[in-house]
Amino acid sequence: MKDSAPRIWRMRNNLYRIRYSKCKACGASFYPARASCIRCSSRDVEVRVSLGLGTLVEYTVLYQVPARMQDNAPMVIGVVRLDEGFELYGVIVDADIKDLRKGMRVEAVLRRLRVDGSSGLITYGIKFRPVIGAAHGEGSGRG
Amino acid sequence: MSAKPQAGIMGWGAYIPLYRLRASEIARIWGYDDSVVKSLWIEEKAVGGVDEDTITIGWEASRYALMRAKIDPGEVGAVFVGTESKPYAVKPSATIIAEALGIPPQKLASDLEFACRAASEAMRISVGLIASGMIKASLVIGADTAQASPGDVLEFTASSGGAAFVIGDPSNSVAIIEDSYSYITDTPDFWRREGFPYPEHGEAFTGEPAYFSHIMNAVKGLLDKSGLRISDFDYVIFHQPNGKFPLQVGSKLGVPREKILPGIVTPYVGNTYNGSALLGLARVLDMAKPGSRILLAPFGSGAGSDAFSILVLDRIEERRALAPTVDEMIKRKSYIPYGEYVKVRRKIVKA
Ligand SMILES: [Zn+2]
Repeated sequence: MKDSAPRIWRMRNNLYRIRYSKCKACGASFYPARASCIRCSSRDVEVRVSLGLGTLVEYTVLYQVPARMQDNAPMVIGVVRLDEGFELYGVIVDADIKDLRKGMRVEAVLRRLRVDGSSGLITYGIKFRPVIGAAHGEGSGRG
Repeated sequence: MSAKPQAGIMGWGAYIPLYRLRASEIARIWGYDDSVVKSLWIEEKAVGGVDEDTITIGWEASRYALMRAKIDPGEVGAVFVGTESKPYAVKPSATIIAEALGIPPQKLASDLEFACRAASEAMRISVGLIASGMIKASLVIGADTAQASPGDVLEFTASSGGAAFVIGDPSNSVAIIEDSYSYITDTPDFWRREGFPYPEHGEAFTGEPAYFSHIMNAVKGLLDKSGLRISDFDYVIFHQPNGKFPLQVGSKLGVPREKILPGIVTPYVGNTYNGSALLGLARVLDMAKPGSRILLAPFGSGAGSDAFSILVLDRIEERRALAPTVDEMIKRKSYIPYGEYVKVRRKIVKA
């Protein structure tokens, strides 16, 4: 199956960055970005890019994955709560399954999402990994 | 000083993948004697994960460099990726990294190839672009997932990692690039032909006429041009294909070991090629006091070397904690066996 170049190109803004909406009327943050607030319906919302720091809320480990993702098995899928105040699903990488725990600090990183054979396109996008270093990633407005 | 400060390092960032392969594991698989490992001074090497490549490594290092530079991505007028392990033979890595970092279209962007010194040349190009007023800031990335034929002695050291630097306005920099000098010849010490996955090297030829001659000529050229002496430098960082070569070239140039050791990372993470000397620079910037002077001399096969004189400024103290340090990344590690290494580095050919 060929990955479509136009499709990847159209999606790149949403693949490469976590774009969310912030409501200026009630302060709610929500993902994915949309034109009206999911809480108060105000249309006074702006699209922002997350700094990518957050906390692992829940996770599950997938041992059976699609054939084309076999190299990535087992895959960890988690719910991450970003510091900006919204949640999303994501792939968790660079964590030993036995070290995973709810509440661990994670950050969004660019990784290969899909590779189309040996001659097709490589699709890059956001995954999450545990933060590096003691001081980094405390949610103190770094970045 | 022969040259006025024209550009500086505004921010620096490093990235070393989580996984490590021990040199002793490679020796065990291929039947090498332990003395080979000792002669190279290599303990273990970093291995990129299955979903990592030069683009993802470059992106990680760049993100940390931009955090420390404290500039808006919109101010970056050039993105250069020095690498010899481009994910695409044709299609720039620089455009993907730039787009993912939110750097707008009004920019220069390209991948440069000169074995391990392409990113070093990108630093000199950036100084020129900034000094001429063409751009305000440049993002220079040195990143590789270095290839080595299984069982080749190169496999002990060829590793994955990278470093990135925002070069720009000296008045908003953590260090000034005071002067630089390049020395380049046609020397066939190491090469990889188009379409072939692994490089070839001229065995003993890689030492004297290549690594040692070019670095020594570049350093001597810089000293002559600038009027500086080795004793004016607090830290000296050389390209480090293994742990031993930088100490040997240092001894030929009369550099005390204690000025070289802080910039040595290869024994712990392997040779990250374009990231090699630049990870050493990142580690030194993690610790250097304001007023320190750094001599940086990367080397690339083919062959060439650049020497830079870099003066650390007061501002460095406030930028350091804005991103993880090289040592934090060296300490973050997970050992894998040889079998997992050949899988994640895509050395298994599937039907
Ligand atoms: Zn609202």
